[in-house]
Order: sequence, then structure tokens, then C-alpha cells
Amino acid sequence: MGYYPTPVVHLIQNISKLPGIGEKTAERLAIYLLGVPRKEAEQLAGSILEVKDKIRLCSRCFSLSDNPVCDICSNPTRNETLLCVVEQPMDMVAIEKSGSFLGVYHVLQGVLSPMAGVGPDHIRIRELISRIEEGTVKEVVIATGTDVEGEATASYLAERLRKRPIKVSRIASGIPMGGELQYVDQVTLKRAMEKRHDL
Amino acid sequence: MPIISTPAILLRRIDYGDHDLIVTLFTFDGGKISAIAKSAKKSTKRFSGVLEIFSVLNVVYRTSQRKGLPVLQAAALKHPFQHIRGDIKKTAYASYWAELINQWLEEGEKQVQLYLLFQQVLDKLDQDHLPEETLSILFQMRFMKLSGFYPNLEHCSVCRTGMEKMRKNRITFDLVKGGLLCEKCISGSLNKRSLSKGTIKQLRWFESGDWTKAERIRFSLPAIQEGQEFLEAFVPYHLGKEPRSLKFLRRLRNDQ
Ligand SMILES: [Zn+2]
Ligand SMILES: [Zn+2]
Repeated sequence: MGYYPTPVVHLIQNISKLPGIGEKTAERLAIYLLGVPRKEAEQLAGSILEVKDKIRLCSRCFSLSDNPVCDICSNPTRNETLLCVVEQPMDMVAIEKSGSFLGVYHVLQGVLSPMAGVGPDHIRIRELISRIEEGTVKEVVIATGTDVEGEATASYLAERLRKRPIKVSRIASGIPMGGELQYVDQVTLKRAMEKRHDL
Repeated sequence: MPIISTPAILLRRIDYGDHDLIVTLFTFDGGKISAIAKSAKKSTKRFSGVLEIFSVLNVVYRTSQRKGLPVLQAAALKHPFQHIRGDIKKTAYASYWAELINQWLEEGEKQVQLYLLFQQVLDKLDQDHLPEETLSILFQMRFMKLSGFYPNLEHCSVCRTGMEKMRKNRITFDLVKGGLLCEKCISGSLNKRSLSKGTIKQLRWFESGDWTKAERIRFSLPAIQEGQEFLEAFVPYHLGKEPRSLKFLRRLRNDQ
């Protein structure tokens, strides 16, 4: 890398800080950026600064928003009594894309992980509980992941919400569409079999 | 490049880039190894749903002649321990044990007895055979025995006066010496705990690692609390580092 002029070295170093990008890829991207028209480079630099300046967390659901309250939370047609709990904004976007949910969300901004030292006070659990205490929510759908951390978080939330007069449910897991049964793990298959439905 | 096939328990996994995982495995045949599972986060075929912490697997991996990590070729799930994952308290205990093992084991050092202990204790935890607290005491006592820093709970570490001959009911344990101290020998001890004779006697019961015997013991609640506090100070002290899961466990206990 010492063969490049200092500004190029800095660019490579900054790009390689991005998740999933090694030094080789960073080098290739830096050389690519050197070759793009100035306007395109300005747009990229500008949009990075724009998200840093304008994007904040919605004060109700903690998803990404350019207003104090996000579009979903401020939409009067969404069902406020149905609350879906997800780990990250990306999970919320995935559910939105499916078009299958018309309630509102709560983004935990993480997942409980004993080994990573992430405890109940490190993610937005306290905010979830106080939202539920307001009394509007009638059902909470827990849509954390199905890995050990996601399941553990679901179990923790279920325990904390158990004594409240609301329904608590967990999204079902099963065979992916287009999936072949032989590649599906036993836990998923067992659950899919238990949750089978009539045709 | 040799291909190795062995049972293994998954101790830890971390994301590596967008598609891959690096897994730390406690293998039956070769002790602890770290391996890369390529496309594990993307592919719905090869490792789908299998590479979860605490799962007992049959793994096949290829060691590399050059410096790189071994590459995981295949993994089949033997015991997923579904009840552990569905329970935050069980997950926290299993995480604590996995961290202790991970900290203590050197890469590539075969430890069959410890492997069997870990598998057995996970199995009991999953099946709800014993309360989590009792299982944890049992695991830690056996773990110390197998890893060579079993505490001296029999007599004073300095003058060798037997515990039974010590007059007070509360007895001092010195974390640095790893043993008891009688009243005459306490002075100068910097890092100490106090334990009741009753707790010490109950802890000794676990030395043999006999499960049927352990299942018959009815620990009193104060003895469980005291034994737990003592072990959760002594074991991390000897490993030189406090596992993160321990903080989590304490936080959970506060909730209850
Ligand atoms: Zn919102
Ligand atoms: Zn003495």
C-alpha cells in the first residue's frame, strides 16, 4: 500500500473499515472511485453526510426516521393495538416489504447475548415495557431471529410480559418457500410439523 | 490436506464478512479448534440452522497446510438442545460454562473428560433434570477437578489443620492460595471469602462427579447461594478473566 500516494492510502484505509470488506476489496473500490466523474463522487460523499445529519431514531419505535416520529408511527391507518418487536431496522423493512403486517413496530436495536455482554439494559426493552404500559397495545408479536440469541430474547420478553393483560405471540418458523426438505434442520422441521395446518 | 471427522460442541460463533462464520468448536477428537464455515450465513443448504451455540454436531473439516483456518466441510446436528435456546436463564448458564471452557482450553488439546462433562451438563439442563443453580455448581466443581485447580476444602492451606477441627462455623477461603485458612493463619490474606462449614461439606459431595449422588443431594437455599457466589469468584479468578455471561447471569438474578 506504500506504493500509493497518501490520499489514496487514506481512502483504502477508510473503506476497509466497512463491515465485510478486506484490504484487497478496499483497494479495488478505491481505484474504482478514483475513476468516477467528480459529480458521482460528490453524490456519494454527500449522501453519507446527509444520513449522518438527518437520520435519527424514531422516538416511539426506534426505527430510522428523518422526523422525530417515523412515517409508520404517525400513519393513522396503522393498527396501534398490534405491536411487532424486531431486532434491527432491517428486519422491520423486510416485514414491510412482505406487506403482511399492518400494525406498528418496536425496534430493540439489538439482541440479548450473554457471551457478547449484551444485557436487558443495553437494548430498548425498558422503552418497550413503558410503551405497553400506556395501554393501547393489545397484542405483541415477537419477531426476533431464530438463532440462540433471538430465541433467548423472545423468552426473556415473554417472561417480562407474562403477567400483563395482553396477548403475546411469536412468529412461526418453518420450511422456506422453494426449499427442499432434506436441507432443512431438524428443529425447523419439527416445528413446521407441529404447526401444520389443514388444506 | 487431512480431512477430519469428529463429534463437536459449538462454543462460539462470529460473523466473518457478509457470508461466512468463524466457529469455535470443542471437538471430541481434537479439542478446541476454530474453523471457517463458508457461505454459512447465505446458503440455505449446507449449514442451514445447524451452526448454533451449544449444539452437538458431527463435523467434517479440512485442515490447511498453509496458515489459514481449517475449513468446515459439513455439519450434522445431533442434539440441538431446544429447551436451552427457548429459555433465557438456561441460555445464560450454558453461555457461562461455554465461556469458561473456551477460556481454559488451548487450541488442539484433546480433553475427552471435559467434553463428556459439558455434553452431559447441557443434556441435564435441556431436560430440566436439576435446577440450573445446582447444575452450575456441579459443573464448576468437576471443571476445576479436570483442569487441575481444584480448591482445597479439607484443611488449612498453611498449617493443615482439618476443617472439622476449626472452631468457628464460618471459615475463610483464600482465593490466591486456592484453599481454606484457619483462624491462626488468616493474617496477610488479601483476597478471601467466607464460607459456612455446611456449604463446604455440600460442595465436597460433588468432587466425585457422581450424577446419581448429585441428584439426591438437597442443597439448602443459603448453601446454593453461598456456593454459587464462591465458585463464580474463584473459577474466573483462576482463569484470569471474568466471563461476560457472568455479568448477564447476575443481571437476570436481579430481575427475579
Ligand atoms: Zn416509529
Ligand atoms: Zn492454619
